[in-house]
Amino acid sequence: MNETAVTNHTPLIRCCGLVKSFGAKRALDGVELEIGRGRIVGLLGPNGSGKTTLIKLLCGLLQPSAGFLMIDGREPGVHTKGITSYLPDRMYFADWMCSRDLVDLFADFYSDFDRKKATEMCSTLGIGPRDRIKSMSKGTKEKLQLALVMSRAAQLYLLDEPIAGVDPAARDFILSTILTNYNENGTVLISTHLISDVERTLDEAVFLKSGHVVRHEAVDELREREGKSVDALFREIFRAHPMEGGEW
Amino acid sequence: MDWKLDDGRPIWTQLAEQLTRQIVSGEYPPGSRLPSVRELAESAGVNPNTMQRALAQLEADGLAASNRTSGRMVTDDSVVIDARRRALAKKHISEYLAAMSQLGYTAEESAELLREGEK
Amino acid sequence: MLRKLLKYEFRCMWREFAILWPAALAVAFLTGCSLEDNGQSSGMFSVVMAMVFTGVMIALFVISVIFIIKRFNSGLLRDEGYLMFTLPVTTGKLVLSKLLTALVMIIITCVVGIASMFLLWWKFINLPQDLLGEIFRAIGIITSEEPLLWLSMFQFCVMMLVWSAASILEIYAAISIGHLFQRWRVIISVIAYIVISAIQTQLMALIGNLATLVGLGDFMRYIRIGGGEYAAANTAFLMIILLGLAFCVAYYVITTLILSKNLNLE
Repeated sequence: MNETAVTNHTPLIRCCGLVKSFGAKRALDGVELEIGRGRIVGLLGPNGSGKTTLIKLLCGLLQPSAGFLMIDGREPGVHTKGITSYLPDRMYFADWMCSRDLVDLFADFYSDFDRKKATEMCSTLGIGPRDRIKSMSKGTKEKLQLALVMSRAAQLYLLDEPIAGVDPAARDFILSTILTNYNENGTVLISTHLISDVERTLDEAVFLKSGHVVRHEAVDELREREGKSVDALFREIFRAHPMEGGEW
Repeated sequence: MDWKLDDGRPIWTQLAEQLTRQIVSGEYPPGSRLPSVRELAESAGVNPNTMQRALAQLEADGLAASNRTSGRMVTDDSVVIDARRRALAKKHISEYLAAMSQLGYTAEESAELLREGEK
Repeated sequence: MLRKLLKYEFRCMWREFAILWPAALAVAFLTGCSLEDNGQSSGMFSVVMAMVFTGVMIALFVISVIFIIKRFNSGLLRDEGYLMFTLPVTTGKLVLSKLLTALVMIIITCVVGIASMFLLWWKFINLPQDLLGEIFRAIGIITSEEPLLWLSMFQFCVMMLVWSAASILEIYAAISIGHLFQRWRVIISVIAYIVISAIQTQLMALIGNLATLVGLGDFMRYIRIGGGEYAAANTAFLMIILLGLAFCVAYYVITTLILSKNLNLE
């Protein structure tokens, strides 16, 4: 088998009938999705639509209840984790670590990690190698985490709500860090419900509504055909219907 | 450079328009080198693929050309640039005249007013 | 990859115990100094020191247990798990790295505990000039009569190690079972631990009865090699080691299976 040939022709992400349920609740209900390489893709949907669940499945933190998903032609495992750079929606640092420990850890485990880039970004952010992570502010921790994640030349970046709850200056910093540092042959998947902020950075948009992919299209084609921004379309698709509550 | 992007139209066409404007106005002189896709994408805060598509449009229009060694250059063919500039000017003029005719002015009156306005 | 994982686990262990271990030794030494030559306590100071010493020893034990639980629970099943489970390593290696670190921690803590005892009573032990030589001479005399003593001592150490591993993995398995549930994870883990312990005790008793039933004791008497008692002890040690290993494997399989098939961090 020619390994590289497989790598280049298969889509980077492929989900088939993907279901994830938590108890009786179905967070994902039959997701069909194919995403290619070298794209910046927005995973768009309101809170509770299944964005985080899909991302956790992709990075192997959750196992599907039914259906399957492939990254680079393989099921989530050691190989896919090695080519995936994941930014969770929370801090994942251990209390006992200093920033140097984290940089060491990334350098040890990820062969695509660029240590020089990471240390440069840290010094730009004013983070010293001996700084205890415990004593950092929330904003600094988030930026450190982003710097580490974007210092990898990964095939797939999974960024879960990178701009939720930050001020406009930090938002600009985060978006420009993503755009200037990602590996151009890799794909970036950004989940968010703040569409107007990321719209101009996206190639494709995937709309997720209560566990289903309701739309997956190139952003430019979407704007051309619909004659409105993705943000406006989003509001239309996810408009709360007053009658949905049923009879009182 | 301040990029203005509005809703409802593809981003790449808007980027191509604004780059065209910069070339015909001489901000990027004929024969000069254009910044890289990455630099342009970063300054506009857009995805490099989108900027790539806009630059491909410029190349299709003959306003720029890729060169293997020196990157992407503005064309040094001033005829092409002038033609493009005139085409843009004509578009603005017809928009002006259309707006004036809605106010009830004829083309001559509009031209007269324009000359007066300039004084 | 396991080596790299251990590097960070050891770094973490070191930060946790770097003060505690030397502190225990220092307290033991000071308490030893405060005792009179006849072994009686001398006034308030030595009473206080003895209390402090007892406190430190209890603390050492409690912190060790907490360390084992915390490194597994917060290190894998809380926020830090987002980092660990997205590293390109198998779940088995993650569990192994936690286990080996815990074992090393236990060994060092035991050494510190024994050294503390020694430091506490150093005044009352008359050490011969050539201590190590004496020890080796003594062992030499015994082993010349009982050549299997070395084997027994080695087996004893292995047995302690294997059963320590089994106890640690039992804790991991209990926490993992608690993780299967959406709520009440701590309480379910505690219940799971109690249930697993009960099952283990029952199984041990059953195996013990079976061994008597099939006359394993007689069997052991037949396979005497050198000198009687030790050969029997060696076979017994071996059986206990194998039994411990079986429990280790069972708990390890339960833990890794749950963590790789039913991981649910939130």
